[in-house]
Amino acid sequence: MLFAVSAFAQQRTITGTVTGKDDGLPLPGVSVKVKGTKIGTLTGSNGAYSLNVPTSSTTLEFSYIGYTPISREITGGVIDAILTTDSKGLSEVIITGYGSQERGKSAIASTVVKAKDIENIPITNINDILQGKAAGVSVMSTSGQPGASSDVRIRGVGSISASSSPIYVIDGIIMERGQFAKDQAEISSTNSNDVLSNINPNDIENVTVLKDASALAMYGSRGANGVIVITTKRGKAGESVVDFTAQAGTIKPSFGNWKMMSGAKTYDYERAVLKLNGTSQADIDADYPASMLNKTFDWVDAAFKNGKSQTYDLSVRGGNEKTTHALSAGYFKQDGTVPNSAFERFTSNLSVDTKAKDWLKMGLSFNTSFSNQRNADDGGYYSSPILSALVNSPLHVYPYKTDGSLFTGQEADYGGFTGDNFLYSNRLNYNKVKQLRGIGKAYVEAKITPWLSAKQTVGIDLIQAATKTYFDPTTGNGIGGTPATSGQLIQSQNNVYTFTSQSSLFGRFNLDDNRHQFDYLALTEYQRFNSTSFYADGKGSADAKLQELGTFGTPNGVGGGQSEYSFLSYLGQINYTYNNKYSLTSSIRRDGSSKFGANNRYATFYAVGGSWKIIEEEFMKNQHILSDLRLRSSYGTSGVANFPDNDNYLAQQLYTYSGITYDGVAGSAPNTPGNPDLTWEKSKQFDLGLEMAFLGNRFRATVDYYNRKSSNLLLKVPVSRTSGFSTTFRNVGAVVNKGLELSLSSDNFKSQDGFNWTTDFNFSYNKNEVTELFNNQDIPGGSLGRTTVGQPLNSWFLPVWAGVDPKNGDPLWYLADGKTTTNSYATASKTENRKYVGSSIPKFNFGLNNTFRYKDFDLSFFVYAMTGAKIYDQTLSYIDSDGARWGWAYFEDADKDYWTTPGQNAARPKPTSSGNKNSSSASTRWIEKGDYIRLRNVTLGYTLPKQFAEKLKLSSLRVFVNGVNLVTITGYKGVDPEGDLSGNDVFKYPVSKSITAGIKVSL
Amino acid sequence: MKKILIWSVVILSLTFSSCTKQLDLNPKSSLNTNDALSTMEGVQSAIVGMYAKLRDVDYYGRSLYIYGDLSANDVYLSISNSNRYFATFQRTYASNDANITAMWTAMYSTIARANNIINSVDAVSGDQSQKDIAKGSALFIRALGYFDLVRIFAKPYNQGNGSQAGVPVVLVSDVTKYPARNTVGEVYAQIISDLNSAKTLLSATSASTKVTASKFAASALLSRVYLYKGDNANAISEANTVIANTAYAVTPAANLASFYTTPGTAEEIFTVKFNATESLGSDNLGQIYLKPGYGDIRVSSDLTAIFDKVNDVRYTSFIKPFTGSPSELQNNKFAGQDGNLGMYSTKVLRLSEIILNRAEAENKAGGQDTQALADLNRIRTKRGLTALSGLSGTALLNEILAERRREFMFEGQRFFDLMRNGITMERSFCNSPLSVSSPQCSLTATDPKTLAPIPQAEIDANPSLKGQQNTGY
Repeated sequence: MLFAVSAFAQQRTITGTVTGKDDGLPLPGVSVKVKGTKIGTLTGSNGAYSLNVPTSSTTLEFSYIGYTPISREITGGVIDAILTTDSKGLSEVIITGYGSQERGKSAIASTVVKAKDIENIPITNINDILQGKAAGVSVMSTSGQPGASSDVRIRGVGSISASSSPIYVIDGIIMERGQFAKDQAEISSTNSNDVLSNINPNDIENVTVLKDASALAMYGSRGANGVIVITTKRGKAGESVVDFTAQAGTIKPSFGNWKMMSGAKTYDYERAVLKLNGTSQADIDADYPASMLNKTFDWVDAAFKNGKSQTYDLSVRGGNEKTTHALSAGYFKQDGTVPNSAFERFTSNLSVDTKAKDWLKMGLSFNTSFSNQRNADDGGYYSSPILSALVNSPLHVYPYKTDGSLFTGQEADYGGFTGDNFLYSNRLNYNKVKQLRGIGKAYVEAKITPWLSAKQTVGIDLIQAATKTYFDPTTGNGIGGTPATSGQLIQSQNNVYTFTSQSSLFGRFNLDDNRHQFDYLALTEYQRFNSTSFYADGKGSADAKLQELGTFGTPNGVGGGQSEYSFLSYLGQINYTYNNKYSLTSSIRRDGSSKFGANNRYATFYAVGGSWKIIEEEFMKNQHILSDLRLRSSYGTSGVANFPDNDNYLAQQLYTYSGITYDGVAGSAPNTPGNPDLTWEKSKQFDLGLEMAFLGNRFRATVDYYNRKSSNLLLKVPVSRTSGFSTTFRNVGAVVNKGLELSLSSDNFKSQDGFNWTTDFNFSYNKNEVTELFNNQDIPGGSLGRTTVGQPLNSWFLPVWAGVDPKNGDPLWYLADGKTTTNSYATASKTENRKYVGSSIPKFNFGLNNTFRYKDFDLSFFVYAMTGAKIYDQTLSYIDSDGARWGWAYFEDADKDYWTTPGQNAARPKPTSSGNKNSSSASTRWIEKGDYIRLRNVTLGYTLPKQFAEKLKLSSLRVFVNGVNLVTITGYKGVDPEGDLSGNDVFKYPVSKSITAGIKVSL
Repeated sequence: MKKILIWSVVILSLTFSSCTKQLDLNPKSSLNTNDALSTMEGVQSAIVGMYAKLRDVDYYGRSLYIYGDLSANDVYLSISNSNRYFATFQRTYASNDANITAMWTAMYSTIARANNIINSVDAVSGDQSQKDIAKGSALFIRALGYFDLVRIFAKPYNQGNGSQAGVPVVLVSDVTKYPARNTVGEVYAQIISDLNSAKTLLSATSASTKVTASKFAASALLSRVYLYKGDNANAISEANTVIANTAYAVTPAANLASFYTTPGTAEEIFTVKFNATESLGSDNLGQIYLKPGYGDIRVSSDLTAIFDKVNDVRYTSFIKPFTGSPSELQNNKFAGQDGNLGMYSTKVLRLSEIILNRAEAENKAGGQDTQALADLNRIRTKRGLTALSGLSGTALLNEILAERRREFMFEGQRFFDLMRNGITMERSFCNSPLSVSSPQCSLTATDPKTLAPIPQAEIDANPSLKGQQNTGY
């Protein structure tokens, strides 16, 4: 009995609270351990812990990621601890997708955008949320349609024909983005749909943008345009945190400076123009009786509407030291501002990470999303409300018949020429896209020795994209000559399957007591992509209420196809750090792909880089201004493997059998001239960066200079059309992008309970220049642009507008000498008389984010600006055409300052009822600066004080109000100065502004 | 521990060495060109593809016909229009005009499809009669392509007797080649040679072959080619071959109303067939003439002035008041087919034209005015008009040309008929408020504006064409 007593170790209970030094707030999830034993626990959500320890224990160790670990002696029953953030050499890691590198030892130039800058902003696509938040990244929206994709470019545009979009890596696996839903009816805009819109931005932990060669070489033949690494939220050890957010509000179209002429003003304008051109007053009064003014219709007002936006998110994240889990579910719906367009999304995530054994880690994650999008018809179609707003005269086109019912648009007495009255057709027809995406990922990681680990990851990405387009038999799009051909239903299905497998060996070993550190990675990756699609098209609707293919009597077409590609890659990387100060990094990657020509199947890419932690040097120890100073530089190669039109077989000379028929028999036709020497585009990039921090990390700045040379560019080299082809692809071009990036963050005011103010600012400048083309031959870009050596990509090449001839009101253009003018457009538009007038690629990007906190209130606003781009306002050339489009709608200012009398210096040529000598044809008259500054996001929030939250049994409650795109300052006359990469504004779907309010509750 | 290391490396390298084979992926809907044309089935598929190109909106789908009519005075472009074909109506082209470029491209694309077949069919193993028909069809289409090219981009044969600049003649389509312009004489020589070879190779075909090439189609096209060239004797002899075949018959007046909406009638010799599923939608030929389509092109008073508006079946069937604007007139020929509005299976060659070709050639050859008059009356009587008598010489020629104008209105022939006969194109409706203004109210046949410019894109891409652009562009 006595022996049994002594066998029990005596126990006591220790409790306490752990808080952070900076803000005094409790820290949950802190590890509290008894030194020298395995006994330990974690602090709860209120920072408190309770631990049963043997009476013989003397010391408790407190540790938490991002904080300096401390030990406290056990002096009593209550041991509190205050942890300070680990400021020197923040063990901040750069997530590279294949792993991570410690920032202080890495040559990588990257920007991280954290969850707090992404959350609770009601914008559909993560790319649009990133706009302006990372130096060197330009995001340009293509359309205000919710769900539409945006053009993203990192460090300039590096390709002429191939894709210059970066690649996206989600949780370590390269994932596809873009439009997979095939719109067989071709009624919606290109880029109206992006499978990346399926991701719920509120599930994202952070986004890391990788920009320099040492990071891009890791992605080899696909890395040249930059890499966007998205990491989703995972579980954290500690008590489960349950978050629920609900946010809702309204959206409105944002029209910028654009306005159309009213019906009354159109009446006056047209009468005045006819009078000016000699029509007798009697005829004018006969054609334009005053009664016309009683029957005007505001088409712009009808074409756009306000809408609603709602978001609901629920998540549970938690776990213990061995296993962590994260579950989340979300719902998002946003109306478009054009009638019958909207985006709806359901997402759910499940991820589990477990440390099955000390040396074995495993994890599983499933991400399922379903999106339901209704597309507006592209502005170029007669059924589009946007086109009607721009084309239907408020004076001449009235949508209602005398009996009050709507015109369908095809009636002989309908005033419009489009054959379609959208007020009638828009609510009957639709173009729907439904996308289901399931991403599954599993990994096993084994620590074989302290310096060697092995990891195997398998990822599967399944996309099912279905589209359904319906045209009612009575509408302009659906009408046919007979009932058997009236009404149309087109359905398509595209199943995309991507399989990725990565096997790697990695680790770190140190020599000589950490003086020499080696980090290494050896990885092999295999990726296989397959897209299988088919469609069916039927005409002859049985009844307007039946909208399934089986009920359509006349088969109108079927088709289908398949496309695939594969990559097999090997990657090796070694980082060496000496004395924690000097680092040398290098990587080499070999890619083989089915996309490249038979003669050039494999490619090797490499990078070298270095980093010097100047702050650790002896001569820096005595100064107190700089708290961090690091110089880094890298040089390396990478490639682009996304071929134009997503054609995976460009290298082969092919006859196609798809879609060719004659008299009911299927046939074939030459499709691509092919090129067995076709290879990936190459990129060589040099980067020099300086990272600084001042006054105890209160001010942080990073400056980067880069020089990116892209060569072997795939160019559609024009060939003589007598060959049956207009162009063929060759690797011949070269482009250089040089630039400067600057990011600054400062904690202007910092106090626990008082006023806090932090600022983040980023700035980038990019200069783009074409340095090599095939035979120095310029490439015409349609009738508006031209690519030539010495000018940037996407340059406008246009006849030069010289204004109006005061003698007779004729339009004038300059000839090549810049002085002589001509009123002949045929002469002015000759190649020798045109000039380069800028590019649609922006030169400068600015982003500024300010966050204020005072007691329980917080206010943040984010402004960004883009300057240097030139936009071609093609829409304006239609609505301000000096009468060339007589009877259409007019721009608000079309009736101002036009020529009427000889000797008058007018801004606009003399208008006539059939235009004036091609005055509205393509010229610099329609080029405008696309400079703008936009208040992208404002959020005002209030967090309920702790006491009240606890009374409600919540760990926190916050209410907030958020506004998106509230103010835009620009001189641009069109609807949105934010052009897409093409810079050609034609009947664009405007962006929307929104005001929402929300509440976030955490348990 | 060493073992673990070795094992890991071995496993890693073994796992995916087998995957190297997976880098050889072939497209699922296409075949390598050599494979595609190495078998008889492949050649037949390519023939189908060659015909399919003729349906292109920039070729027989619409633009070629518009070019031939809108450039002349049978029709005008309404001021209420969808902004199409302005340059064609105003005969004021910029060298980078999109329509002209598209037509050039479509025609050479068709020729390339024909060239590939001609150059590979001989090496294919198969039934000789099938090979002959394949090669003959391709030769016919190639000739058709060059004929359309040379009459748009080069001066008529009689303005230089063949020595004036024509278009590049390419017999092997190759993206690495940059051919210069051949003379009009050389182009015509190639066309005639191709058609003569086609006639022989297609000897097994009959008059019932209408949507693909037949020996009669070759002869019919030859009669037109010879007429344009001014070789009247050959024009007559080729026309004789076609007209002698009694399977062809001119459509009687009673059936004329439905003639254009029905492909495959007895009068047709070669028709580009459009199936119900191959409609070009709003780009169908008829849509540009009619509402609820674009309705841009309307019938001019110059054309209606030459009609017997009471008896001529063509007038009563096809020229109607314009929907929504009854003071104007619309062309009802291409109302639609198989329920597709405006769709028209282009009747490229039909018996009526061959008869009128012969009539014109007989008159021009001299000494055959009686036969010419008989041919002319053959058409007139089938159109509700009375036979003419006592005409000869120039008066007869004018009557034949007028009949041709009535018969082929809106079928893309008017402008070419004027130019090859040296007749000035005059628009008396020039200042009508209903029509888009036209700087060219009249154009002489030698005016440089009667030629389309060689597309700027071609000149930019093809150094051999430097300095060879048509005058005035």
